[in-house]
Amino acid sequence: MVILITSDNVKYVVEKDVAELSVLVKNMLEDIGPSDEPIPLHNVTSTVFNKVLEYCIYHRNDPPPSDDDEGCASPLHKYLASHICSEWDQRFFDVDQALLFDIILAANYLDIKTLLDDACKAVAHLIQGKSTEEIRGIFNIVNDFTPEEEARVKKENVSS
Amino acid sequence: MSVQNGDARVPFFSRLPPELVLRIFECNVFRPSMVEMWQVLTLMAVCSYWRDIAMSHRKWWTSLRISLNHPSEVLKELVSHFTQCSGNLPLEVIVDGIQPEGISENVMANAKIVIQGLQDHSDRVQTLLLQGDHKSFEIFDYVIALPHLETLDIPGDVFTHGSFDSFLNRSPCDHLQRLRITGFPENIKEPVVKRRLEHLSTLTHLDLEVYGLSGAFTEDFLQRLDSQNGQLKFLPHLQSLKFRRPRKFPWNLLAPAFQSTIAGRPLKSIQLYVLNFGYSFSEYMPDTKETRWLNPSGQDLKDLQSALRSVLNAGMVLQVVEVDDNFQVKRDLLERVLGL
Repeated sequence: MVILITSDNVKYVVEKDVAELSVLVKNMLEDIGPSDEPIPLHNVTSTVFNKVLEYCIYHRNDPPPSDDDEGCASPLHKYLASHICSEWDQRFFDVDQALLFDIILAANYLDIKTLLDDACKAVAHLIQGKSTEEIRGIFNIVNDFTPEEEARVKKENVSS
Repeated sequence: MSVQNGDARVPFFSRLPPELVLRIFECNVFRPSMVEMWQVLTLMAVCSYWRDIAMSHRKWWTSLRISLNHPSEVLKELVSHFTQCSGNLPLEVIVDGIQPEGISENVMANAKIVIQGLQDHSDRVQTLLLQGDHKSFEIFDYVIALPHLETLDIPGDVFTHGSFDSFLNRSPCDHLQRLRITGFPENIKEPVVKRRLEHLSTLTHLDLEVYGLSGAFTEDFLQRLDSQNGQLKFLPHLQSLKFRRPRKFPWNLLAPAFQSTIAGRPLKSIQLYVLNFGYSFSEYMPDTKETRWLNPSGQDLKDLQSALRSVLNAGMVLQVVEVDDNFQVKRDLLERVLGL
């Protein structure tokens, strides 16, 4: 078992294979060797870590992600990988935007590639097929272009 | 999947570093071709943060698809955008010359604009795809020298048009490895096709849709690959050959073509996509230079099966499939011939 402590001082006792889905934790465990010393997770709160843990427990037996996913895969492979998501994953990511973006940041910090990819897909799904205005509305993004830039942007979009 | 909006007043995206925003973008856009380009431009129009991120990602700007029907101002803007944003990366240029009725007079003028826009970046163009009907072949009159061109994808009539000759004179195609030709018209001059192919001696991958060419062309081509006598002058670097929609093809020339691999030719793969099995089940007789139908139950068939099996056992890739008009595979003919 591995002891992990979140930034708000909540302690978790986690099975090693689950904890090691995080490359950050795995590397730290290798660095400190056999020890009961708790591992601090400075950038993750317990609220977010609960979700991360739920994902890691569910996906603990998944095959490790292939290096192909990074850049060598065919466009079709990437397309399929970017669109296929299990029902469980769909329910898992059915959360408010604040938590979803926290999960992305936590997955990035903990270096859990599959969780990061899946969470990014969940956000991408919100963008897909939407107009610029709709995207701004969904994510509350302010249009900060100058009038000149705005004119240029509109011209580009006409060309597409 | 439905992500709840929560407190929509907080712009959560601003909390993400650029590399994570880019990762999200890449879930939507894996290649900026026609449809995906629209998505990139939509993302770029959201805010300056997103625009900066998209423009800094050079890989997105390496595949430039140009529709010659766009207004000239837009074309100038697009070409300039791509050549700037892609930095020094190799470029893939796709020229869509398909002309709707009524605007054909603008097409060549627009082609000039595109080519002029690429003038300073010609050494980065590694792939050129020309799509469109026969009216667009004159574009090669404008195509500048592309000294590092590796992949060329063009219609058959462009390949045989005079302007392609002048292109070859300007751009010797010393690096051209992949050539794909889509469709030859019925009245094509086959000697011109042969002469052009001989000229492109650096080719490693050749994909020909040969429907407009005669069965004799296919026979001659395969015979020239058979270099048992040590003759490796014809396409000496060819590794992979694909013939799509041959009128007929001689089964008995397939195995000898691979024998040339033993003599030093790097040929490893032949793929044939035929339209009709019955129509193509024939063999070529070099003595009489005639093709005859194969007897599905005679000694000829046994000899053929034996030769094909030896090719497969030697680790060569041989694929013969029957396809429909859209090149969707209907059945494996090699398997069928081996099972007769």
